[in-house]
Order: sequence, then C-alpha cells, then structure tokens
Amino acid sequence: MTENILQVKNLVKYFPVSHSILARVMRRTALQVHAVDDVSLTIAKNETLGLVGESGSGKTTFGRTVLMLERRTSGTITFQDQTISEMKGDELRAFRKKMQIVFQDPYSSLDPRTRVNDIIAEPLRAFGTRKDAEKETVKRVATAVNLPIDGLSRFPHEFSGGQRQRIAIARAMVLEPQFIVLDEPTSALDSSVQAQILNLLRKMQEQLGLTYLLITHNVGVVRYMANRMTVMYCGKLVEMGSTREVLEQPLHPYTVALISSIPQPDPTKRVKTMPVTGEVPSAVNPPRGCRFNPRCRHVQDKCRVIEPALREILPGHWAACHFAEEFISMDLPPQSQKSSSPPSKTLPRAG
Amino acid sequence: MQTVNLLEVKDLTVTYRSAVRGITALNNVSLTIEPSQIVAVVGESGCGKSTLGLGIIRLLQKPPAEVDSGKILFKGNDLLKLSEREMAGFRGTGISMIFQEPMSSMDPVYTVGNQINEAIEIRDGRKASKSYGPFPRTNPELRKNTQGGITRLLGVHLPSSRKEFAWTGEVVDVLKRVQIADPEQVLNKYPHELSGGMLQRVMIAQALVEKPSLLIADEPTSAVDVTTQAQVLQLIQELRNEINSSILLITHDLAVAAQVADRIAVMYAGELVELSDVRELFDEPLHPYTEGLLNSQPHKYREEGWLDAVPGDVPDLKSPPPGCRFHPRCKYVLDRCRAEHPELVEPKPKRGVACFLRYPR
Repeated sequence: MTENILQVKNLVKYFPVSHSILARVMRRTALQVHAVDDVSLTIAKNETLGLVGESGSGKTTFGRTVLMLERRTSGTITFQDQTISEMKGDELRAFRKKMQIVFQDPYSSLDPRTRVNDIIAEPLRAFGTRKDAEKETVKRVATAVNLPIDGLSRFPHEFSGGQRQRIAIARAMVLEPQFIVLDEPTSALDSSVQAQILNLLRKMQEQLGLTYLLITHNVGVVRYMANRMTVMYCGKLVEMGSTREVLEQPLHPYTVALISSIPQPDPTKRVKTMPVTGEVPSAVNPPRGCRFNPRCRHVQDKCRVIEPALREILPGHWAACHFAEEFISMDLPPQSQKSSSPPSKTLPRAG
Repeated sequence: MQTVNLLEVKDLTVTYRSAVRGITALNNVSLTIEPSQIVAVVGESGCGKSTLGLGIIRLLQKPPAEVDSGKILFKGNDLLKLSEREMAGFRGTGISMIFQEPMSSMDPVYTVGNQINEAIEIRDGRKASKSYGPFPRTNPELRKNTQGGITRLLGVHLPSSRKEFAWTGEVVDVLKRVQIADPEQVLNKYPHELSGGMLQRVMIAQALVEKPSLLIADEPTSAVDVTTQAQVLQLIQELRNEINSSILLITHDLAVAAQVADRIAVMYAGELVELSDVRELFDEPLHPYTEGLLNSQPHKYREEGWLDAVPGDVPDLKSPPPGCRFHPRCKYVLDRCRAEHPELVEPKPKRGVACFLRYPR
C-alpha cells in the first residue's frame, strides 16, 4: 500500500450569503453557498491528483480549504498523519512550510512593486533563513525553473506570462515543500507556453518527489499530468479513479457529458450533438437528490429524491450515481475514445 | 467557376502608434472568405487576430490604431473608403460581431429583451427608440403588471416591484432558438442577472435576428465553460446552416477551430503564416509553428512520455525578430530565416505558407 500524504474526510465549506439584517431576522436559516459539500479523498505520496470541474463547482475552494487558507465548516484534513485541521498558530505554521500553492493568474499573484528575487525569497525570510543561504537558494531554484539569473533584480511586469508563472513556481518550490496545490497553473498562458510549464512541473515532481493536487477545467492538462483524477460538480465529487479509466470509461453521466464536450484538435472528430443542455445549478440552492439530475439524460425518479453516495463501482474507480453499473458496458461517445498515442506530426525536411 | 468572395482582405497593415514608436500589429495580411464559409483565425495572444476582426468591421480605436495600407472588399465595396455613416449601414445586417466577454459588451442599463429588440428595429430600418430601463420600446400595452394583489390594493409602489414587459413574437422565438429555457423571464432581466453562458447565447440571438452576411466571432467561447462551449459552437454552426452567414471565428484554441471551421488561418506575431482547408492543416501542417502548436496540445497520457513544447515566448511586437518572426523558436531554423523575411506562397491550390524550409523562393 502506498503511503498517503493527504487525507481529507467529509470536508464541508459553506460561505454565508450576506443579507440585510431584516432578511437575516426573518429567515431562520441564513442562505449559504455550498461550495464544498462533504468531500473525502486521499492523495498518495508522489502522485498527481487531478481535480476537474467547471467554474463554480468548488474546486478552487477545495484547494484553498485543504491548505487551511480558508476556515473549513466541518470535516478533517490529515497531512502526514497529523490532523492539521485541528491545529492553530505556530503548530500550523510549521506545516505551511510543507504545503504550497501556485495560483492561476501570474499577472495578479505577483506583487508588481517587488523585485523578482525578493518575491522568490519572501517565503525563506518568513521562516528565518540566513541571508547568505537565502541568496544561494534563490539562485538554485531560479535555475531549476529556467529563469534568467541575471534578470532577477527586475520587476514582474518585465516578464512574459510564461516567465511569470515560472516565478510563481519558484516561489512555491523555494521552501522545498512536499505537497503543492496547482490551481489552474496554465489557464492564463498561451498554448505553446502551456506545454513548457506542464513539462517543467512534471520534471520538478520527478526530481523532488513532490505530490500535486492539480485543479483545472482542462481535461487535456489532467490527462497529461495526473495519475488519478476526480470530477467535481456543484460542490460534490461525482467520480474518481485512475486518469485513463475515468477518461476512457466514465461511470457518471456528468463525466460522460464533460468529456464529450471537449473539442478535439481533429476535424474528423467533431461533436455532433449537444452533449448536455442547461447550466451548472446555483450552489446556494442545489437541486434535491442528485445535483446533476436536472441536466441528466438518464434521470429517473430516484435521482430527484435520493442523493447518491460516491461508491466503488470497479476496483479503484468510484462514482456517485445510482445507476453507475449500467454505464460499464455502455458505448461511449466517439470523442472519449482516444487512440493511446496519436501520431506525432513532424515536417519532412525539404530536399 | 470561381465562387465570388464575400470578403477579401488584401495586404492589410495596421499599426498602433504612440509618440515614441509604432507597433505593427498586422503586417500585410490577406484573407478571403466565401459565402457561408467558416474561417477560423488561430493564434496566440498578441498575434493580431483581434485587430484583424476589429479592423474588418472598422471598430479599431483611432488613435492609436492606424490602417497604413491595404483593402477590405466586402461584396465589392472597399470598407476602408467608406464614410463613417456609410459604414454604419454595413454593420449589423452586413457584418456583425460577437465579443469575448459577453458581460462587458452588453449595455448594463437595458434589459436583454430591449437589446434584442434594438437589433430587430435596426434590421427593419426603424429608428431605435432611446429609453432606458425596463420599459417597452414598441408596445406599451404589453407591459405586465407584476405587482402583487395587496400592493395593488394599497396603491403602494414598492421599489422592488418591477414592471415587466410581455415580449412577443420574434424576440421570444429567437431566445428559444438559442436554447434559453424560460425566455419570457429572461427577456426582462438585465445582463448582470444572467450567467456568462446565457449572455453569450443572447449575443448569438442578437446576431441571429440581424441575419448578417458575415459574423465576426472574437473568442466567443473563451469566457465560458467547456459544456457551454460545446453548446455555443453548435449554435454557431447552425447559424451558418440556417441563414448562410459566413463566419470569421477568432480563437486561440486549435481544437475549437477544428470543430467548426472550413478553413484555418494561422497567425503569428502579426503575420499570416499558414492558410489551409481544415483537414489538410491537421493532416499535414506546413509551417513549423503550426506543427509546434499541434504538438504542444496536451493529448498524451502521463505515462506516454513528454510533450514536445515550443521553446521560448511569443515575441514582443515592439521589437520583432528580424527575418522570419518565428525563427528564434523554430527547430528547423536555416541561416536564411535569420536574415530574410518569408512571404506567403501558394505551394498547392488553396494552401498558403510563409516558410523557407519547404518552399524557398
């Protein structure tokens, strides 16, 4: 059995919806956004878990709550066999060193008035590293992420988007953490630069034995990066399993719809029918029963009343659908059947 | 017989000028669009694809933008020679545009119904009435009194009670057409009350009633989720099939282009580097940049090895590299590429490529 680095049990995070005092007095229970609703998962050491979902599904909130950047409503978070969700103050601070985050937008996550070497060194200073050691470490980490060493005294605006994301990665890596939450690390980048950053993240993982929680809406990125993936819908996990199994044999109707919505860079595989209609429901007032039931093609009466639990349908492959077993033998939409390795396109050299 | 082109862009050069210097955002770009054809312009940020779209419909902010040379022939008329008033006649029913951010391209003080109605009025040659708020522009009798019984009895106007307008006919139909559930409700809402996906559909509805000959869609799906994106792309195709519009789809995503386009134009650093029918482009990319873009899409599983990333960054147009603008990132670079600038040549019918590697000239 592989060692688990992170264990999340029944994590719940609600945000109160602010209202006038009158409304609060009149209403007995205040309105709440059910951002993360009873989510449990484990991440093994040295693996990448991909967390996929659409905007508003609660994936970013989950990532932030796991790092204790948001106060959880209930549930427990265990990191390296220590229950960090019960910790406070200095005790928790010691753990922060081991857990870092890379944010989505490198244009807003870097202080525009701080020089790049100070940005990278800031975590070191927060934990009291000696000055001479600091300089050395910053240099080493900057080299590892392919930043130009002679440009480190410049400001973030002098760097391109891809370079800025390298700065953000260097800042996350500088304390030598064991676990990093990557919150949409490439969605603000151009596609030719995205591949560079993904390759860099994988290389760093191999070299340093890191564990990643990769939050993204891009299934292509998850396919390339993650060992296991989980799909989130409206605050709930609907499916979890090895990346290949989930993508090639999805067992939840939402996952099926999500995968068949993804445009393939191949004009012979066009999406012919609308995979799913409607929109993600409001997290303030989620639908009763299964949260996907208003959009689901296979909806039955049971789905509107009873909320399905996440069950292990096949070994290591979990789904939260009452009828998940029926999907095992079902034919998939052609988009999700991907050849294992598409032919790489190269130019023949001209004579 | 050669089909008559709906739109011909010839050697268009656009520069953004400041007091210090000029940035050439489009450098001699030529492009044609046939009737009811979907052409996708694909490129990364700063490649000039949005400038091209805005340039065609003449919505570039001047200054700083300036069209230095070139022609834009739309149904035989050179749009660049028209007066502002004449150009306004072409917008809407001739050329229409939908934008990336539906939230910021709709008027926040009009209801959705009012904005669609405006498009209908303009199409029919009526003068668009100017009234703010939720009030009807055409038929005041259709206003619904939505106040509850008690407030009506007391004659009190609560500030929250909203006068709603029963929209009829075409406005409701078109929203049903773009798959908005409950259109009667949605029509009386303001843009901020709708989600991004819904607003993007409202914008498409607006384009639908105008029945434009050419629709320019500038990143119509990059602000929406993937399930909504599939819906929007479906609608764009239906728009072409139903009213025979030509569509210029501007996108950074090759996969989106592969889904809907007939032809693809690949742009890099303000220049057109490859032009091709969609199948041929994906079967055999001729330009190293196109090849790099295709290979850098994350299409592999983790255990299948590494992605072939294009090294380096998109160039800064303030000081573009000499010679071929792609040469610092190109793995096939020749000495000639560093010094000379490749022109777009036509190696095969209906294909264009600007590269010395295979097509030296």
